Amino acid sequence: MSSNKIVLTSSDGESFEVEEVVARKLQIVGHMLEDDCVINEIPLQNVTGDILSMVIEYCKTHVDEEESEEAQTKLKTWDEEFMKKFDIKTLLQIILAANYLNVKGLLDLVSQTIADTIKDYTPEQIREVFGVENDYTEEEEAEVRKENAWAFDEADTPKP
Amino acid sequence: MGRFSFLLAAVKGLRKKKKKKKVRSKADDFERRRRAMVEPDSKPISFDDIPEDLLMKILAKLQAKHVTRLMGVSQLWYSLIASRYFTKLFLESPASAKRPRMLMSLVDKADKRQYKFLTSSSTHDDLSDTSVCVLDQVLNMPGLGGDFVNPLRGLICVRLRRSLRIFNLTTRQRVTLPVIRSRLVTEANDNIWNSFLHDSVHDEYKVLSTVWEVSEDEGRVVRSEHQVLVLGPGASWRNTQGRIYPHRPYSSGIPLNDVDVLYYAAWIDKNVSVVISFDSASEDFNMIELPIEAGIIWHATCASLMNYGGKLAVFECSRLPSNGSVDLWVMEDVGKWSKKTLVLPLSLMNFVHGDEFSMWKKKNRMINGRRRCSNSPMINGRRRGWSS
Repeated sequence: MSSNKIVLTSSDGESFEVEEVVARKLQIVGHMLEDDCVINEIPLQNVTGDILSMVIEYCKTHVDEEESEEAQTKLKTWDEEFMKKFDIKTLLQIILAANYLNVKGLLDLVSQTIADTIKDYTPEQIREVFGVENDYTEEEEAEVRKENAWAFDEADTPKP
Repeated sequence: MGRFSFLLAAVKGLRKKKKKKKVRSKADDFERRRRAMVEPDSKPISFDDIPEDLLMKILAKLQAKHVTRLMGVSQLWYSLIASRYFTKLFLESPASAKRPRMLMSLVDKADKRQYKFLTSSSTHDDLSDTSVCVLDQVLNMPGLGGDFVNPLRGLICVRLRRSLRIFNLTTRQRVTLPVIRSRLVTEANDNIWNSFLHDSVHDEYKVLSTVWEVSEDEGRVVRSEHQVLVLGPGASWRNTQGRIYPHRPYSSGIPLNDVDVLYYAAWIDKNVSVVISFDSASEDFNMIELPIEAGIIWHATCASLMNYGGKLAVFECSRLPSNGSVDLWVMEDVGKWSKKTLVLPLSLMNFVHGDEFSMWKKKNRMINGRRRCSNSPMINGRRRGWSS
């Protein structure tokens, strides 16, 4: 395995020296390396240092994806613990970074975590977190609820 | 729903404006970065930063109920969630919150108005981890009754005499289709067969309906008519474009690997059974002969079709009561068959009563044994239960 080091630089000028195998987990880096193999410093414009460090932490842990059940279980536990560290706003920053850097495993993990987090949010809470403006009139909003009454019917929801 | 279609157009215009803004802001990229350097944590996430495909990816991981509630967030969220693209993504997206459910219908053969629909409990763990699936939830929806046609992408189709109904088990919506009309349909006979399918080429739901006439003396299928209905406003039955030898289907339709082709077993004569394929997009039929050695022409009540690792297979169990073995005829290529014999361990022989049985395959697809008598237990045919 190559022990070539690569320096990743965040948008706010923070640099991270990582092994090439780790950097290649970011597919955006993988493609750059294929195009030109002598790069050893890569600027990543759309991601800040604090978020990039999280992404790198994930990639380091997932660098050898072992097939064994034990290793998989260990990784899964690590993933769960890792995700617990972040609030919803940070999760959104991480998913944007994972999307831009193209780290598939992290993208899946974070989208599931966000889904689990927001599942019981009210539309009002969602608007706040995602910065969405409510462009419905009161009547329109009531109409949406009426149209999908089944989804709002609490009595019908089996308690876990 | 129609009331909101105007919103879609409005939202599209809205979105365009936003995109323009985004392009312009790229010019200020340097300035933004400089600011970000000064205050790294001050930049709040704004909705504009999250691409629509990414947002839909997240939403597709939610349960149907939760995602539907989020239609109330804004007009854009409404249009994203109501889009066909999202529906497809939602159905294909693996998510821990969505678990496959088993579904079973029980119909009293003597009195078809007596029926029950059962499903596995929604809180049940992943089916692949358990050898027993408890069907403890009775599905009670108005109008849900009759013969079970088949489930498809969260919808189920049932038939009560000449009337077909489609139910959305999630939203509890119901659609009643126009009555099947044909000169061949008689009050006395139950000579209608249906299959509910999805044409992924045109992204349409279709129902195939076959009616037939059998000669009284010879038991030969003299005539069969095939009609298709495409679901949508003002839907009506029309004859299929493809032509096929007269036949009488006796198995449910089996799709293979998401391809739009459906396979089912049918009689063409008293003792001659074939497999028919139907392409849901082109509506072409094709007749496939069965291997003579399969012997199913004599024992068709013990044979059924299944999806065996992506290949079509005939599951023939007439020898099960006598020697505990089942023949599996796998179609390697059109008209080319290979045979596998599966042997039931002696310890499980007490589950066999007469020629009735049924088994379930991983991933929720039913391997459909013919059932003639009632009250016999079901074999839960996990892989470890069989040796070949």
